[in-house]
Amino acid sequence: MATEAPARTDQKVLTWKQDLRWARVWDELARLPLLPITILAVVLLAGVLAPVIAPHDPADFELNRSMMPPAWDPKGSPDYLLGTDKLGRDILSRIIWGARISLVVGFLGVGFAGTVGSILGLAAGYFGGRTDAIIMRIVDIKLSVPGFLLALVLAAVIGPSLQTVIIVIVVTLWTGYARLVRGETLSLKQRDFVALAKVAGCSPVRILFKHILPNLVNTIVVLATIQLGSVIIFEASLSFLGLGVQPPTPAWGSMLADGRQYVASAWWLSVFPGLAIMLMVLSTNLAGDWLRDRFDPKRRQV
Amino acid sequence: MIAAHTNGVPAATGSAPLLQLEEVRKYFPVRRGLAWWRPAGQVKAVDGVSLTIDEGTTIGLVGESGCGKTTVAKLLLLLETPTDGAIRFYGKDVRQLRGREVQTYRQTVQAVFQDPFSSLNPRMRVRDIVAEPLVVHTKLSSQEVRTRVGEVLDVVGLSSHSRDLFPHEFSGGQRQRIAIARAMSLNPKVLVLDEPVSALDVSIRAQILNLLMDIQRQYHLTYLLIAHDLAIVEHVSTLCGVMYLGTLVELSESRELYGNALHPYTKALISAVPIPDPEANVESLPISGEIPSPLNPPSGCRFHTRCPFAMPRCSAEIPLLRAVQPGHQVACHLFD
Amino acid sequence: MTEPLIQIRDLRTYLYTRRGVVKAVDGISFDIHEGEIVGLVGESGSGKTMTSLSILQLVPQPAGRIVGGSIMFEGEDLLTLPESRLQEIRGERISMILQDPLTALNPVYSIGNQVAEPFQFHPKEDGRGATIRNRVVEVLQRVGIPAAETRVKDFPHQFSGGMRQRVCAAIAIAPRPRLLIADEPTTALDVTIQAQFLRLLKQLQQEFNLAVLYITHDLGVVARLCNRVVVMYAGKIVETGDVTRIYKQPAHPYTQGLMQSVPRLGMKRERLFQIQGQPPDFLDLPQGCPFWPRCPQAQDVCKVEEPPVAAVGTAGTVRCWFPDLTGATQPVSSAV
Repeated sequence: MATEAPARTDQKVLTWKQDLRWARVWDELARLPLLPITILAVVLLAGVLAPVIAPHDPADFELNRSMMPPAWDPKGSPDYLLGTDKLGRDILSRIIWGARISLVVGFLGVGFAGTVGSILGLAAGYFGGRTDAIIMRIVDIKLSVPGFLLALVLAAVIGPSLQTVIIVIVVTLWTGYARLVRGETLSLKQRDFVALAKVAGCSPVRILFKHILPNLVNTIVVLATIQLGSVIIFEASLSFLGLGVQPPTPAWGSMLADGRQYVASAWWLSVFPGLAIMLMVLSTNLAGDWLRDRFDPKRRQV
Repeated sequence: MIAAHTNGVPAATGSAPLLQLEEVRKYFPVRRGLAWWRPAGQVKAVDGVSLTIDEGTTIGLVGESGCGKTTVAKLLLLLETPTDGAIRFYGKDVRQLRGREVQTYRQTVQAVFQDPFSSLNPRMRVRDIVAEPLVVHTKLSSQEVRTRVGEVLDVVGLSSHSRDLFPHEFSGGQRQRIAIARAMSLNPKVLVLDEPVSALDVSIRAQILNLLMDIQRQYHLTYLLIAHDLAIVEHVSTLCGVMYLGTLVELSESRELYGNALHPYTKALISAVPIPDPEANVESLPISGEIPSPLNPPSGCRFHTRCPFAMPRCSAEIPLLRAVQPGHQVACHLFD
Repeated sequence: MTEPLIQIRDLRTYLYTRRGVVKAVDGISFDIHEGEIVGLVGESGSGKTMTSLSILQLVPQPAGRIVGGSIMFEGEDLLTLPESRLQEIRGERISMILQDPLTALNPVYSIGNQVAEPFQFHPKEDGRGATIRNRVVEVLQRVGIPAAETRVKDFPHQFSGGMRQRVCAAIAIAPRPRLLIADEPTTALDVTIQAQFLRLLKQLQQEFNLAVLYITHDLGVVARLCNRVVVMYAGKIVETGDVTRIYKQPAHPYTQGLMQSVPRLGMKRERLFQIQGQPPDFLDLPQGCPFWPRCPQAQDVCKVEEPPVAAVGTAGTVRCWFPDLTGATQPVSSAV
């Protein structure tokens, strides 16, 4: 052993650090963005528990009670809290079920796009050379094609459905992850701990997944959260154009489209789904901003 | 206390030195503008360096930025491949090492880098950082790995509580101890130390230097110490080489080098180092001028543009490194 | 003795972070006289940079706040002056050179433009167009930029590190300030380039009778350059004094440890003296003397009560319960 016992001052520091950790937990909790988190939680619950909490079957139509205004209107009924559409379907139930579609599309779309994009970005950044050139040229080509046009073409070719929407989203969004991850990988690759991992004999796969990827997770999660909002808008837009989820499945975008003709006479048809989209997108963006600040060590310092 | 290498070194050919650099060159292509496929020039980072590293010695390499000392380290760590020349490991060219032999080389030659903030993965706990080489190279059980991690942490003077923490919970000096523990985990023979203390606080440097010298003595390690601080190199190493723009200009025993520097660059370097003594601080040989670009190094002797003793011959002819006294080699026309 | 150029009394600069209040500068007092180079020595996080930023009131916002003390400069207390008056003083009367010459210069303006800036903002005499240009060239020549007439049109990236630092020096001295604050100006430079820069700084200081506050962690540079030394530890001044006295007979155990722990060229020792422990954590400073956990001479009183300030040598001070006063050339006034 070392000839002189080094001073173990770290002992005291350690206990202090433990106290500090609890202080930090409280600190973090106090800084949580409550409003966006509440909204996201509500939407998540609505989506998951739709069959249980929806007051009516969203597809159950009854022309007798079509175009009923919300409950607080004298002509409304407490059974149909947010009113009914032109086929007499309950708007509230359709919004609750629609949350499911938004969530499925959002999470699957962002999840697949993130996975595909991140893996390709990692490969491009780490291996460089020809791998990098090929992957990034594909990204460039993709970026030179107008996104929505590509979506329309794909939807027309494959035929509109939930799967199509997800495929379209993955094809549109993966490039963002690829570029971001490639850039970060290039800079992480220069860090000494990657060189030392090579010196220790780690394989490229181990370096990529053990050393580089864990340092990228924050960045990817932030991008994914922020993109969740645009994916929901994207899905709504496709559904609005009739290229998304097909009726009678309720989706916020198609509800908005259905209500368009009646904006003047029956505002509730479009305002409630519109509000749902807006709140959802706003809260994902706020949550994304918060996450970004939270993970950015420079902003975290003070 | 530590199981020695079970797989040993490649059939060592009798007296072949541990590591040997033979006229090693490393040129980096420089690409400019849009024509990325056509190199615009070459940075001659290392340009014909020969060096023998014997077991149990400490060789110091000093020089200023762009002199190629870090590239030499990367070449030895197989992070770069030489453009020309050979690095021999017990006589065998490292480029011919295959599979198992590469792993053996990796186990034998480990490294500690300058920046303790960049050299530890911020997402890994100390125990995983220190254990990683063991996990990659050995088939030890998790209990054995745990024991070994505890041993090396003890060697570097860290308490076992530190194993569950992340790097950011430590100060610079403690991080450098973690880096040393990791490098020591496989019980290597050679440590390449690239500026191991220059990023640390003055009061911590002595701790780390003493630690490095203690473990060297205890485990019979061989060091290649790369630093820009002459005093540190002199303090730690037995043999010291001075590099300038990719070439070795002087190589000798370190005490001899300080007391009897021959090359004008070495003299200038020694006199440029500020000595922490207000009464003994005169620059005996001040030199002017900038370090030339390694992209377009001067002809002949690379130092002739700044050398106070330059002769016409110096710009035309490259001086060769040769022994002028036993054990003291210099590359300068003044001593031909 | 004449009135000091700048008198800092009980300066306190705190940083309000999420984790707590960092007393980065905690009640420091010292003077700088005209034509004097004072070295401010300390490790990273000892508060030396925060001291220099406090003088110019450039403490990082919104976390940093100067909470007490006074800084008397030419008869005015800088801490009570309005921002408009401070802007006149900054650059014109007090200027600054920073560590990294690359980030200190704006990459999109030519060197000439940037050196001319103080002339435009702080016009001493009515100078326009050609006159300003002449003065810029003159200043650049003064700091040793070769071919200054043609290089005024060049941009920062076209200069080497050493030359960029010279440009920074030109910007700093152009308005003929009384006090120059140099915050680790040579840390990013190579040894031979550093030696050149230190030579230049000394010349400029003598020529303009500048007062210089030189902030560094390099004890060698201080010995070569400074007349007086101020040593900081954990936001407090632990020792001040004449450079020779501090190096030959340091009174504070921390200063003693620093002096002994640095390897010196030509004085090879078996083992370096090492200061134990880790640098202090500002959020968890010990009670009493902040140095006691690392101090070999610590007694019980050190752990409880803050040490008093004692006089040592000529105009020197030491903050310690048990200072080594063998170096005191005059009797100690009191141990209060």
